[in-house]
Amino acid sequence: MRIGFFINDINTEKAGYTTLRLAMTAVNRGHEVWIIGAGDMTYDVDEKIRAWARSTTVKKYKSTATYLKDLKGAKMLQERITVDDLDVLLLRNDPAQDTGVRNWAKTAGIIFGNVALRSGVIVLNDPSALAGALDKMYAQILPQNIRPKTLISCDREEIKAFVKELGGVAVLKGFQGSSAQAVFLVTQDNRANLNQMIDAIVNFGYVIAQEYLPGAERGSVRMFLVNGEPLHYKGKVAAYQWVRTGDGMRANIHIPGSTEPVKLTDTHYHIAEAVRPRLVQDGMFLAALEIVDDKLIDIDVFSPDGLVTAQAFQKANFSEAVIESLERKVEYMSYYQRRFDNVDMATL
Amino acid sequence: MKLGFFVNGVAAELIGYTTTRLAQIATNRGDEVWYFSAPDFIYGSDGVIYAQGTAAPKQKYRTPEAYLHDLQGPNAVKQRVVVDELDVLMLRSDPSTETGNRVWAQTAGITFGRVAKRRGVIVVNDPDNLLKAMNKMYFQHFPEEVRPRTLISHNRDDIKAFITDMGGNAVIKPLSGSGGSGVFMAKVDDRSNINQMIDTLIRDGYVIAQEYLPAAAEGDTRLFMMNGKPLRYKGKYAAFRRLRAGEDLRSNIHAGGTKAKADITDTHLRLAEIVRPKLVQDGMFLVGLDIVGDKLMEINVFTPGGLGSAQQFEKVNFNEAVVEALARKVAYMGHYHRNFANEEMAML
Repeated sequence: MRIGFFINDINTEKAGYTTLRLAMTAVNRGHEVWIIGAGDMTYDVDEKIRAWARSTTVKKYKSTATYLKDLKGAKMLQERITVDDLDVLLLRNDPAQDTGVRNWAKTAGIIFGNVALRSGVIVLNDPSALAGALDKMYAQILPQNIRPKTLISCDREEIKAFVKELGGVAVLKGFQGSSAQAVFLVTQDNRANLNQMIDAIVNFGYVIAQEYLPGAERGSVRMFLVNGEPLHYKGKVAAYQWVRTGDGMRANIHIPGSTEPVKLTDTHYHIAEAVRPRLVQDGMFLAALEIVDDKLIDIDVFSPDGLVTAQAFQKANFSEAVIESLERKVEYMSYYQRRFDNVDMATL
Repeated sequence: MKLGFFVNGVAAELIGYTTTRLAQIATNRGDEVWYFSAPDFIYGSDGVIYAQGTAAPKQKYRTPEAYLHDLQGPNAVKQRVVVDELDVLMLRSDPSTETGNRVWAQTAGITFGRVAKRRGVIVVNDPDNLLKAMNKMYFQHFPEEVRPRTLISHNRDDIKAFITDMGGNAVIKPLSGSGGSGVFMAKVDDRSNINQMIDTLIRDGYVIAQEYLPAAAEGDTRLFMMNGKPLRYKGKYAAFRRLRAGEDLRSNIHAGGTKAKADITDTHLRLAEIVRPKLVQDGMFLVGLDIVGDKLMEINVFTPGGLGSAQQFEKVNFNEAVVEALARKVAYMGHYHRNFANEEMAML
């Protein structure tokens, strides 16, 4: 198959990223693989989407480090490809990385991906659903009993009242845009700073205030879903435990911590099951759940990373499973002459 | 009916705004009319969407001036409103004016509107589709024959090549955002600034380059569409012409210029007919088409203004037609106990 990986920028890509692992796996399985940066797309005069894309001349790779080196070096192949002719376009850019002057790059994949749909390219995750997941409201339309208690507001008094109602302990985060990275833990000890914490977020938009879950002390469980179901391969499930080290509050954000294997419980599967209808309805092919205690604290639908970590703990090549699933979709699509609803195809 | 208008800011509303006229008419009919702006929403810890609403006291207002005076004055009613209980939420904010620190406000109405719609509030224009229209790619999803020739790219050489192909005359503007900021005209007899113009735009993201239509020298025609059809009331079309003010390219924007009565021709009606299916599919209840010659220059789906100008030339109060159309939807929704797809209700 011909597959495109849409990423932030080849220069910020790292060998440990799941995206590169998936791309390398696809190369090794004999597929034509193209890497496309956020600025590389063109809506051409003949109404086709084209892109300055990268590939490599080597056909087998053992390590993503070599693959990444080749993508930037002498073995790199750069061509102006017609995106409409791809079988699959995987949107794997992380919008949170593109802030400030690169704000425009957040939505580039969604915008061009939406056009590529016209030619029967399978675009994953479904671009319209991704557009609706750019702020944290996406988690709020999941079932209430699997989410922590939440308030979203710009009103300082409202937020303070809610924190009080929660016994003075709560997590405050930015809801959208450039504030999305700010995360504060309000405790009995630092309540004197509550106003400042609210201000730091509210100056950039809405504040999302959430109940603090005691289990967050330890970290969170990250669990991968493909086609709306836990990613199984050779009897193993793609998941791991993220362990908090030090005082960092951001259990749900990529800060250095450590990881260890996890044994999933019925609670984790129950949450995955509760999320499933929504993911299927939206065409979310690949997603990662962040679970603390019996609650879902975050859902990553943009460029879920960490599959390589799960792979290392479980000794199962989950990347193969993901690429196999894409191969199956391309085959389905060929039966239907590339005329099939993208959202439905996304989780088939 | 209970009607909410989402605007950029209550204090920034002007007498000439279409929103003001709509609100005045609805209030005079006895409807309950609330104004909200970007920071006013609250996603309560009980899962209910509330908003801090502003309303003018209930009475008959003889003019939009009198209405706005009360809405913005000390007599205004300020109260917490349950958004889920509104009959209609009309999104009337202009995202392009929310820049810098207020970028988050661009999508606030859409984000909360998407939740309200799931709870049976009629939200127009449909918020899921407004989200797709946050950038000018939306326009490219309308049939090719109604649009000028277009290239969208982040590559300076590609853009320059396109301009040369167009004979040296082209309009270039940013892909993100709506409205008229950052619109440049590349001219065959002044090629000296071309690099600077392109670089200025590229710094902020993708660039749209469009064929320049000579007919644009005379200005354009704005034609309103409601429920997917040209808005016709008492035998008159809601439309007017905008004449270009001297050299300024931006006839379609707030760049001065004068207005005149429009003659709606078969060419205009044919264009309206061609865009109709897509508008219906997307639940775009009220839309302004900007027409030059036999092409569409822009489709304004966010907060099309100028119904007052159309009224001035046609001597018909088109705002009454809009409020009546909303009231009819509310009656329909009553029969179906609020269980009806928003995209479809938006166009009924």
